[in-house]
Amino acid sequence: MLHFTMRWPGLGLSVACESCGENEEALRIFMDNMPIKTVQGHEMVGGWMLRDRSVVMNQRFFDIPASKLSLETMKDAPVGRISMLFPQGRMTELLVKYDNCDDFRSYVPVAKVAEQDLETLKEAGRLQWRSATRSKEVIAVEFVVEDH
Amino acid sequence: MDWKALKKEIEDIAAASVENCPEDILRVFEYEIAPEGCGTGGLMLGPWYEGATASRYLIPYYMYNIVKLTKDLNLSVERIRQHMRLTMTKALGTAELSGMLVLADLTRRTMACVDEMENREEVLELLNALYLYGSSINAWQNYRVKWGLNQAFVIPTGHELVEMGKRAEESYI
Repeated sequence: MLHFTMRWPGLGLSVACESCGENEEALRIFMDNMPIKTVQGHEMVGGWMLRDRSVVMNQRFFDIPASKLSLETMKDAPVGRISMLFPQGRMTELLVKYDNCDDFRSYVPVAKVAEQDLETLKEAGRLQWRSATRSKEVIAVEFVVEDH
Repeated sequence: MDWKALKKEIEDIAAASVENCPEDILRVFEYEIAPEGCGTGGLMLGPWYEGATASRYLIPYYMYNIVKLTKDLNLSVERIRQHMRLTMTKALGTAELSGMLVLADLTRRTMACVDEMENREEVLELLNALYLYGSSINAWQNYRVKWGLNQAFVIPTGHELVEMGKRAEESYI
């Protein structure tokens, strides 16, 4: 099983993540690019999702054709789902569903937040929503491979 | 799919939108109606900003560039299809989710039609029709978007902007 950690040093929060069983090769490429640090935002249209607009993959090129990737809508995905949007070359967007969504757009599911960390994920989501709509505080997120 | 019929349909809607505000713009930006569940936290702020941005990317930016690229006579219809799929799909999904339903429908049908077409000049004619309509949408959006919404947010001071700029490196490593 592929494991990694998503953490927010500025918030003092972290969650354990693991493969969701879909698109494992895409997840491997993502993990080969870790550690990754990026500014995190919040989805404004489709529901309660964290959204990283610019995830740079400088260490391993993403070269899987879109036709080889399975898709899922965030509306149908379980809470905790981590999905890519338009991964190609050295860039992808990354979304993390932490509560209900009505988003019917298709994403590439790669991982999930561990069940025991879903409340921590919701807390991160709540703080990110506050930042997106009120405080404008810049919140960075890190993705790292750690021993679990 | 009859590309000529689709082109005529788009041209008629585009012609009507010169003087009359298009249905999408009235629905989303004037009457604040969006698909059920759309708008995180029940806010129309997202559909306004994301819908406007996605619509602008979809046609006046992506399709404009594709039409511009077709000046290169060596650009095949298959290449045009590839560019459409690569660049337009994401913006199309967001525009549709934000309630820009007519624009999304015409774009989807245009893309499906181009999938079946082989004559480069005919493809270009169809794309130009959609480009014209999308440009009209863009103009009406600028007119109808609720610019006053910006006043709901704290406007950063010069010092804060400098501090934000210093943290730009945090966007990725």
